[in-house]
Amino acid sequence: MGAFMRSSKVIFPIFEIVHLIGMALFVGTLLLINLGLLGVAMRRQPIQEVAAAMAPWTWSGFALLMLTGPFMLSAQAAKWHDSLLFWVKMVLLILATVFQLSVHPRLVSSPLEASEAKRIGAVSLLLWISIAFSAKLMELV
Amino acid sequence: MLSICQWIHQTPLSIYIRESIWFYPILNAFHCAGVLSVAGTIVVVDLRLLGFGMRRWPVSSVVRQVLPWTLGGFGFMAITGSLLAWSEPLRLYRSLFFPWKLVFLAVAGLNALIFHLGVYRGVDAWDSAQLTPPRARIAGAVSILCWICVIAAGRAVGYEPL
Repeated sequence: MGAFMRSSKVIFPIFEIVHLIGMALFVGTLLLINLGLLGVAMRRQPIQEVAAAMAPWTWSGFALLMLTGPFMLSAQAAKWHDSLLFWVKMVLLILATVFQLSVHPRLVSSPLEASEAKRIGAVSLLLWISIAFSAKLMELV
Repeated sequence: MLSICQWIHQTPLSIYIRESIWFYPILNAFHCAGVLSVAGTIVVVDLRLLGFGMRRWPVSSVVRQVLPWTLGGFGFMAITGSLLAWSEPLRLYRSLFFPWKLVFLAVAGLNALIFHLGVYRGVDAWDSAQLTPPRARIAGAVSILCWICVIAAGRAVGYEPL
């Protein structure tokens, strides 16, 4: 896999571009859900409807990220193994994914109390922003 | 054009950003976040126009709720992007992909303008329609394609040699 990723100059950028397209889909739809939970966006319909409408696209974006990520990782596996920021990103990623999966059923079914919705939106935003931050930093260091 | 780029290159702001340790990467990170938010939110409008989801919501309701966030992200993306471009005008002058990125950005903008001044003016007639008029669906498809190209070309600029 790593050898394949390094076999041509264009293979890595192609995977990276697919990764970024998945990321756009993921970031945009999750942002609207979270801003909705915080009560500042998508206020014309109940939040369960917003979450249910966005979810297929959020998870499609997530699937693209998960499919391309391991390939990108394999290109420089030794470098990432020694990178503290990479492991920070992975731990945060697992935390955020578990959090998102565990709150999802509640988001799409029963109505939420405003305070609980705010809490879920804030935690999700914070987790994903710190993942983005560690990802960017890991690329630079 | 080259002389303008050379002039920009030696302005204090350009030198400052180019030679900074943290300012350039921070601008770069914020620019990425801006592009992803713009593309990721506008695609929600495009998906509604194409009939992929949110079919029970009026089109105008989706547009009015999502667009402010897209435009906010756009302002953010444009400011950070201009500063980044200001810091390395000579590299971008020689770049193969940067002009394409601007072309796709312009087509995306033009497409949105044509949509808003055209078929969207009569949205009242098809606001709740599950299947939007062909011109609206074309606008949605063109928008998605343009943003994929903007992201691809933008990433490619980063791979070009200095």
